[in-house]
Amino acid sequence: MLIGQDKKTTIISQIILTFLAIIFSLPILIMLKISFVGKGFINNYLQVLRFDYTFKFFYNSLIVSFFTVLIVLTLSILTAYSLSKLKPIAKNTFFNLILIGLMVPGVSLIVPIFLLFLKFNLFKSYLAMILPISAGIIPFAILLFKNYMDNIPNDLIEAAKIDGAGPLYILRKIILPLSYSIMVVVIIWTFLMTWNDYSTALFFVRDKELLPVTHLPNYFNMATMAAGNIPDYGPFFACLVLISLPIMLVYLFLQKFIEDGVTAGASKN
Amino acid sequence: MNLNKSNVRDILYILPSFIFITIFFFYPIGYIFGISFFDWNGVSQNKSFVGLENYKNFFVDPIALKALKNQILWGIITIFSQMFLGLSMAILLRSKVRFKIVYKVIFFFPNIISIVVVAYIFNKIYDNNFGELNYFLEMIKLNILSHPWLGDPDTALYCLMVANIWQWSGFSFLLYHAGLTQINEDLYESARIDGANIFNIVRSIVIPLLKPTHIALLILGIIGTLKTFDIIYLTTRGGPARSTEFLSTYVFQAGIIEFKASYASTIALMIVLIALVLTTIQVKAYSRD
Amino acid sequence: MKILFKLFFLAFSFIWFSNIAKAEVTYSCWNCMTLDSDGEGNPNNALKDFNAAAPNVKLVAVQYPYGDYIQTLPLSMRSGTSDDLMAFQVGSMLSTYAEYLEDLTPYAEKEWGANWKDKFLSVGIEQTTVNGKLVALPQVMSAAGALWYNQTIFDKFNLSVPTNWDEWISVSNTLKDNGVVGFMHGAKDSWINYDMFIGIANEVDPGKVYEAEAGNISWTHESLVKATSLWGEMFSNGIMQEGALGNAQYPDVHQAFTSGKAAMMTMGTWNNYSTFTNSGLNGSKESYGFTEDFKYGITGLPDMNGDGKHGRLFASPDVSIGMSASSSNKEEAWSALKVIIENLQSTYAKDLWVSSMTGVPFDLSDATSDFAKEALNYQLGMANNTYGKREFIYSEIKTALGDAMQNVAVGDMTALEAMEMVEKASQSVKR
Repeated sequence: MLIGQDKKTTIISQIILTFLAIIFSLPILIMLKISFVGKGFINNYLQVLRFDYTFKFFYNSLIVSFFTVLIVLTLSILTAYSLSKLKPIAKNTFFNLILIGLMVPGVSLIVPIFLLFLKFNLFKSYLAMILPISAGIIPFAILLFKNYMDNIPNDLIEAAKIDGAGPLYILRKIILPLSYSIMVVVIIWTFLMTWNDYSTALFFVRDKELLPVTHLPNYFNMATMAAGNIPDYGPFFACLVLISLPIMLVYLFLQKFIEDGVTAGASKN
Repeated sequence: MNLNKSNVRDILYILPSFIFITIFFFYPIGYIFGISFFDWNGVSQNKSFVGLENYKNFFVDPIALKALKNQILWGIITIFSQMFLGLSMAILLRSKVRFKIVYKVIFFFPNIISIVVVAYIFNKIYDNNFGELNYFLEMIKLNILSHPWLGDPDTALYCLMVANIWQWSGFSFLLYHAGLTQINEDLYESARIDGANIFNIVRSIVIPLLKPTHIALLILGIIGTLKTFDIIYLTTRGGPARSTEFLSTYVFQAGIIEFKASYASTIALMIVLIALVLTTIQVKAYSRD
Repeated sequence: MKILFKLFFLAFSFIWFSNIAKAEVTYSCWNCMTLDSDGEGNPNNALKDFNAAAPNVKLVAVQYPYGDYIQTLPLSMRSGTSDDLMAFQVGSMLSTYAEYLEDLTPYAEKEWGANWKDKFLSVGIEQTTVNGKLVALPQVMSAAGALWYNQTIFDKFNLSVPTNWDEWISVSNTLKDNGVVGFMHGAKDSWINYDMFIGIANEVDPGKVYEAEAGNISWTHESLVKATSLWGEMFSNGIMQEGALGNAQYPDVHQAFTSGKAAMMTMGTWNNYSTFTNSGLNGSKESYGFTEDFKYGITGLPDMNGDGKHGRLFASPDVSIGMSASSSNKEEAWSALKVIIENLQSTYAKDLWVSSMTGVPFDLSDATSDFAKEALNYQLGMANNTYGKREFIYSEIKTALGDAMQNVAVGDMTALEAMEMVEKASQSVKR
């Protein structure tokens, strides 16, 4: 055993873990406390839920997240499969170039991509969000999938090849069924990144009806008419709590799979 | 003959992703590379060619240097803290403690919530006059430690590091938790028979065998550090006195606030360059195993 | 059949033409001054008044958070997808965007005649004119540099409002000893630091800061160095609260002052609504969670040059509005702009904005008390006798000054070194 299974070790571990857990949960408790401020807990949340755009924004986020997950899964699985199990020309070069995609700071991408969208008039469609966000996640997803697939033993594949199976068949019938846990990871990670995204919508969405839920807090400012936008704390934080609920639910539901999954992206044989 | 055809065909799988990446990363890199040779305010129709002047200015810019130093310090402290905490949690959770799922959720939860929330919470906690931290210190009679945390250039950066470590330790934890499941338990048995205690085991077996995880966390950590923006922007905005300025926030400040788009592009390119260099080193170390 | 057809044609034309008559004018802003609609599509105050004054124009105003607004503005400008009307801050922001804005001089002359300038406060029009081109019109002015104080707190501790530097120090420290923040300042926000600097510099030697900006004198002039060192001292002699560099003016200072936890702050006329009107103050009370009716007062910064007089104010347009040169309906945009600027001044006066036009007093009907009315009238008097403007034109100087002030505040630089840094930036400006 790595760590003792005896009572003494267990108790010490429990104490340390509880201590850490308390420290880690403090900020969250403070966040909840703030949503009670002002008009009171229920009123704050009701105010948010009654607002015109709340459900529209949630809906927009769902649509964008759904399609982003779809695109990211499809493209990254295909790419990772090729990089891992097939023999494309310049395999390593491609992989390295893909990694570069992880490195560019967001601020510098704004202007060129904006000009691009201008040319193709994408500002009033969901694509304005789906495309850039997908592009941002794909390199990471490829990384995760490739590492996981590298760990899948090749004998199964060889056996299938002898039986005359083509690469797509192998992908569908052998690789994918073995990759469900990493798939769940990528789904959760993609959903998380898309759901929490703020700046993509800020720059590229020019239609109020299409904004995602992360922009909702902007509408809960105090009417002091002074420097413009001071948050009205109660409803503002209620808003932030509501935004984090879907992800929390998804995480609680699927955290078992994450465990098995994320790991696979990082570990080797 | 057959080999060549399939090699080309196999590229088709990569192409869609690659096209995405070309459009959304390589094209912008080319674009900002282009404008880094001009003097442009980001708005005007006019811009004048200035050659390498932006690059020259960058290398003698005291603010850029300070930003870089801040980022290096940040990277070293946050990455290793997260790894240490993550590994400790992962090891402790292999004992027979109860309520494991509660701990797992609490440790990973900070990773889920929006950065806006994290920033507001910590802004509030660190507030000098009305914040929870100083209030707490007063309550336990440690008033002398009461401090303007985010208002003091000597402490601001470290306070923000705490926020970052809080947010990302859970991620390291997850990776290590998984890594541990792949180590053969028999190794521990034989070590124990030889009289090793937990610390020996961790040092000589666990840590070496987790090398792939370490490296993955390092790569992601470095890239994450270079791109860190939101937590700074939403709390200190790079102050006080540039003590929390990063190259990434400097890009924003120069490009958007000060109307120096060309200089901002230069800085952005430097960030990409640094990331490239550091990552190549990491990847080489990774593949050597 | 024919008659039906004619009727149909008439109905169609009627609808079509009335839609044309109701052309849509779009306006984007970070502070839309209630010209927008609330979350349920209901027009806010100024928009209601606008609709009454200009029934043939449909104004669609959208408010963005300031940070978002300045990030997306360059994009929309360069792509020609900007709104018909846009809000600007004067100074470097307006100069940068000037080339995309319509020259409003011909419109103004046609609307108000050759002497149209007389209708406006000159300090406002000066700042919305870039290289001789009238690129925007000031909507409301903001005069800064006042010392706001909570008379109730002063009465409670038997103190009087400081009239000179030494009194400022002693009063602040006494208040601190009594558990109240004396003077609170949001040193995290560069804009209020600029206000503070301009205020101190003008109090020490009026006008010198403007001459330095114009490049006529060096920033290392002794009065400016003195101003900088006074600024630095504020962080250690007890005037400012501890940790000022970590506080923002909004919401931290605003909240602390309005709810009675801080006794003094420096603010300007833009803050009148939330403090001196019933509707504004009730909003503050609700959000900040306090109920006491404090007596808030206004005076100038304490005397720092020994002439026995407190400081004066300095003003800039708080919001100025320009028209896009690539707008497709300029005539309607102008009609909308004219109404927003001229007809709605009485609306703004109700919310206690200083008008950008001459001869428009505050509308004190919703003022909280007589004490408040006194304070407001005193302030208005000060606003009519300013040192000059509140905004800098050159972003290089602004940046250097911001850094200089922070460095002096934390003790990394002496006042002289800081001013030398600013002078260096000043010399790099192409005037």
